[in-house]
Amino acid sequence: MSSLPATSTTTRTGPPPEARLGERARRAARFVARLLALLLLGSLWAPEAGAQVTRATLTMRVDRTNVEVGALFRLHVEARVTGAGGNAQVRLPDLAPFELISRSESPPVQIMGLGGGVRVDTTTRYQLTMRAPRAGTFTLSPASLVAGGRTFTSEPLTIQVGGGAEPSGPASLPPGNQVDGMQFDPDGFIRTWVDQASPYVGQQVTVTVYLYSRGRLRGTPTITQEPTTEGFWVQDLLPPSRTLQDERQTVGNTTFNVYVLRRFAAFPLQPGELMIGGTALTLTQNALFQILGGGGEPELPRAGSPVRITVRPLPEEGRPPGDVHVGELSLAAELDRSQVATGDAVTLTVTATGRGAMEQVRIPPPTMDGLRVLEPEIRDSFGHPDDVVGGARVFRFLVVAERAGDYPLGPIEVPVFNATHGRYTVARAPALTLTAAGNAVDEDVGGGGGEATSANGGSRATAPSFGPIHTHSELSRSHGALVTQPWFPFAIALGPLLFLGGLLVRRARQQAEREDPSRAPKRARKLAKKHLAAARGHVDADEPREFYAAVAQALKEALEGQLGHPVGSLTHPELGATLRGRGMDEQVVGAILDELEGCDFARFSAVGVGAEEMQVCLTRARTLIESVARFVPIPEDE
Amino acid sequence: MTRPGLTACALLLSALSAGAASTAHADSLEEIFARANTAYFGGDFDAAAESYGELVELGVVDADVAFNLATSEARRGRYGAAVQHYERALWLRPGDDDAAAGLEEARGALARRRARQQGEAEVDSGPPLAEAVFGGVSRDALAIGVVVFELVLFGALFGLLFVRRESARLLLGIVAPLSGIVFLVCGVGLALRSGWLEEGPPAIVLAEGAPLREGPSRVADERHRALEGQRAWVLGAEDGFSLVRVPGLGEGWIADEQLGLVRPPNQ
Repeated sequence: MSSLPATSTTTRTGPPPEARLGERARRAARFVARLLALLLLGSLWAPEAGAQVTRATLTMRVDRTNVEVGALFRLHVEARVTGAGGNAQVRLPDLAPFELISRSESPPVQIMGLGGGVRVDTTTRYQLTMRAPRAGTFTLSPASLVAGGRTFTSEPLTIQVGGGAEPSGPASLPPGNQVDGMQFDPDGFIRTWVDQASPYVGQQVTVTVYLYSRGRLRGTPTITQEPTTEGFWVQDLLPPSRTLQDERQTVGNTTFNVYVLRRFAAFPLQPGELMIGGTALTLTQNALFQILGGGGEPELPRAGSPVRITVRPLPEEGRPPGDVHVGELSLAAELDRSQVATGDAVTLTVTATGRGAMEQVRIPPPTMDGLRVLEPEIRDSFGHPDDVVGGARVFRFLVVAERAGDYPLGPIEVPVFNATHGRYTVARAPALTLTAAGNAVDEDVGGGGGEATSANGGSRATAPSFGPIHTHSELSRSHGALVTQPWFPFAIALGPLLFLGGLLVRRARQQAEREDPSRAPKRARKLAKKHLAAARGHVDADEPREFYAAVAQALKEALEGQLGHPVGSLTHPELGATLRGRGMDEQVVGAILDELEGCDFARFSAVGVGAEEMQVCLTRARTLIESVARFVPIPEDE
Repeated sequence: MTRPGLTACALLLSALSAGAASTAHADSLEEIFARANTAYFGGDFDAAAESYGELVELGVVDADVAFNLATSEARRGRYGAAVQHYERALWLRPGDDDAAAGLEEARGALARRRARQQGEAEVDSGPPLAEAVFGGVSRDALAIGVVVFELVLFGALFGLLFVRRESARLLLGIVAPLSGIVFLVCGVGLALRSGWLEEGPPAIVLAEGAPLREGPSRVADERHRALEGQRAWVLGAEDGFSLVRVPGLGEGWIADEQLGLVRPPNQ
């Protein structure tokens, strides 16, 4: 026996594979459990985490950065905070260079987060209406927001103020970011807009009251309080009965239906601070809007804020004496007669035309020794084109000349102040002269050769009355009647000459036909072709009655041309006899008579005749006319 | 200076003075009119009538001037002249209510005066045929009517010569006679208003009892005596007299200053 060399091996011993898999699963399960626990703990911390400010934005803007002195502009500040919105504080910028006219603040709007957590977003808006009292460049300091222990600031704004005040155009809706003296309400609010912040006494201020509504109005809102206008003379610019029309406009992020409730012209009667009071009403939202969750109550009371206006007095420098009209004015004066017998009355008419408070215009009666002037009769015709009040005021004075003499009336003057240019002018009507002569008018006849008046005045009862004379005359030197004009006889002769010419032409034509017998048939053929062309037109227009009439006429024209005399008055048998007597072929005669009879019948019973049938008839007529053209009639005397 | 030289100087001076005089009196028509009105209002009807007459002599043919002259004459008691100028005003401006009223008033005053003087009076108060029928229509309107409807008439006749369509001929056949009728009416009216059918220009006797003589002479025998305000037709003129025919009286020669033409000369 022999021996082999030895080898060594290592073997490990452990758990079996199935056991290892189970261990991994258990580890994974433990990991997931911890993770879930962590998440659960984290969710519990969420409120605390949400209670901290995570984000904030502060914006400050103006509707315009270039304004005129005295003009209004709007400052808009918006603060949005995500987080501890309830603790946020907004500090507005220093408004020292400007006058604050009005201020409004919208309540904070909070939006809650979804998904079980509490997250608060808060938005606060401020609208400030301001006015620049003097020219210059001004910087608004930044607004600031303190929230969650942190301070947020906006950017500063620079405002350029220059020139004179210009009124804003009232023609269209003011921009959405101009909100005057109102309390913003997302369901609706009232806005009072004034085009002049600082007018002169007597200058027109246009006031418009708008209603901003989220929904369409159902019916006319009930106005419970009209805007007060103490210290103003007012004229409405809208018709008393009208349908409210709405326009859409967005204010901030909200779109509204905007209605014009009131528009009137207000003329301040005194300088100083005057108020246009706020309007109050009750409005009803559209029912459909409510169904769709538009929110709001069925009836909403709303009130607008008053608007302050600073009225400037008229400048003293250069001011003429008397009552000054503010606006535009022109005067015209006329007398119905410039000469009058003493004791007679004349009418002085003064017409004032212009813009502004025309109803306040006064024309004092002219005063003069020897004249008695009665109080005038006044007639007004006012309007307001383009929302500017104006028109005409006519004064009629009765003027009685109590003594003979010449009386200068006028010039009539009214001082006017142009608010746009800030200047005084004088509206003037030139002077007129009234001449009164003689004693008071006597009805009796005077002068030599007149009738005698009896001592007891018996003739006075039957004294003739002559006059008054005409004080205006064109003093024309000639009475150029048409009859005396040199061209009149020629105009009279024109008609007879025309007729005579027609007679001559006709005579010449007949003469030519007698000399050239072929002329008549040629002309007849031409006429026949013309009638056939008309018949073709009637086919296209589907007019059978007219068609057959034209065909019959064409045939008769052709026959008349060949025969040399009319055939329209002949009956068909007579026509047939005539044609046979003149040598026409019997077949052609028969065809012509058949065609004419067919046309007569079809004319009066043309219902249902088609275009094809008419076309066939047209072709037959054409063939017949050619046959007639070839026909040479035997002379009649043979 | 020689005689010719003196003569020349005299002539020159007279020409200059005449020129100056004419310049001094060359008021404008408006000034004369205003002066006449002032005189009227002042009660100086003589001066007023003179000034209005001056306008007429200067060639003014105007209804207002004629009316004022008539009224001034009436105020003076010269009713014949008043009738003359009121009729002229109506001829210049047919339908003038003021002139018509004044004419009626003047004729009425004439009648009353004559009645007081003679116990009874009869005044020619009826307007001539032309005035009665066509009084409210101007001559120009009648002339336009004549021309237009004559053209329509002869145009329709011209059409009848050449138009062959029955319907057109029927229409022309209706238009022609209708337009002919209107043409005739306008023609007659124009003839009456223009005086073409009158035997002479119409005139008014201005003086009461104006003699109608055998011949154009103051020594000629009287045939008749016309009344103030009476209408006359001028048949001729010679040596400051006019041969007239007065309806109801006859013919005779009357002094021109006792007769007033209704229509302005050369009209």
